[in-house]
Amino acid sequence: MNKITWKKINPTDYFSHINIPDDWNSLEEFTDWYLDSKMPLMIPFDARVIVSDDACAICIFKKGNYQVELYLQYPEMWVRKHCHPRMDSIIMQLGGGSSSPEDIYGVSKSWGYIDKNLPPGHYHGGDSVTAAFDGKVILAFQRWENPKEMTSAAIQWKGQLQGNHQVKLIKNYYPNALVQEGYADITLPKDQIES
Amino acid sequence: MFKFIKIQKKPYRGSLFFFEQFKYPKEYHQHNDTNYIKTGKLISIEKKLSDDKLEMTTTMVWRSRKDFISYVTDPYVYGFLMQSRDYEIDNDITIDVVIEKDDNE
Repeated sequence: MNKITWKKINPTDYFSHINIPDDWNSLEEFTDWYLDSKMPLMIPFDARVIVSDDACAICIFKKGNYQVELYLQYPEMWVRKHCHPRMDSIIMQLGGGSSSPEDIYGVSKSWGYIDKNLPPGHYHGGDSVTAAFDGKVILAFQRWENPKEMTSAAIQWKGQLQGNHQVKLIKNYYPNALVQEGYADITLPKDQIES
Repeated sequence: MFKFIKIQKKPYRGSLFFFEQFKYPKEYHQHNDTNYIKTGKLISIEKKLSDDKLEMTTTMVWRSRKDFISYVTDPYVYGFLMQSRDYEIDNDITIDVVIEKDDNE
């Protein structure tokens, strides 16, 4: 122990009560398991903080081709129309940012709203009224088709872009994908002209 | 004061905006009248169609941002907002938003 550390929690002990299955049959089953386990913050050692134009995010749990990302959506931003071509995702609202009235314990009334599974290629976003909020927090439960591809929902993207930070993120992970003014499609090569 | 300006653009003239396709029920207008207009929360709402009929600019002026948030998180209103959002996504209607507000908002 050094002079500034108060104490060190051993993660092996701390997480020992959590029974992590080898696999799950569906994204819904994985989501239920994570919530029933009281949302363990088991941030992978190599999880990268994703900084985009509308939000920043980090993976807070990952196993096999399943993961959970925590998104902090910036104030006065909204997510444009897009889809994720090769992943299922389920969004859970955690509130904050005056995005809904106060509930008991001081949390947002929207806390705990969980959307239906968004299958690969299903367009979503476009909720422009969130531009009035002081940001908000969501969890994104994800099941990726290819575990080797796993990064972030902000990167595995097809649709309208949020801005230049996201352009850089996508180009970094998919250097050969179509990324043009205000639009990206990671399933298409960059020389393809999207009409 | 809090001004929320929503600019909707449709892909071609034959396509319809949500309000052209969907008739809001009488109860919806009554609800807004009772809870937001008569209370002075919603000061004005103006819709302007571009000359080429492809772009609709809706300007809502609210007494405060808090009043606007109370409207968009109103469970009754929220259902219609989500219907409108889903319609815009399905029909390739692009959206832009501009917010103008007082310094204290």
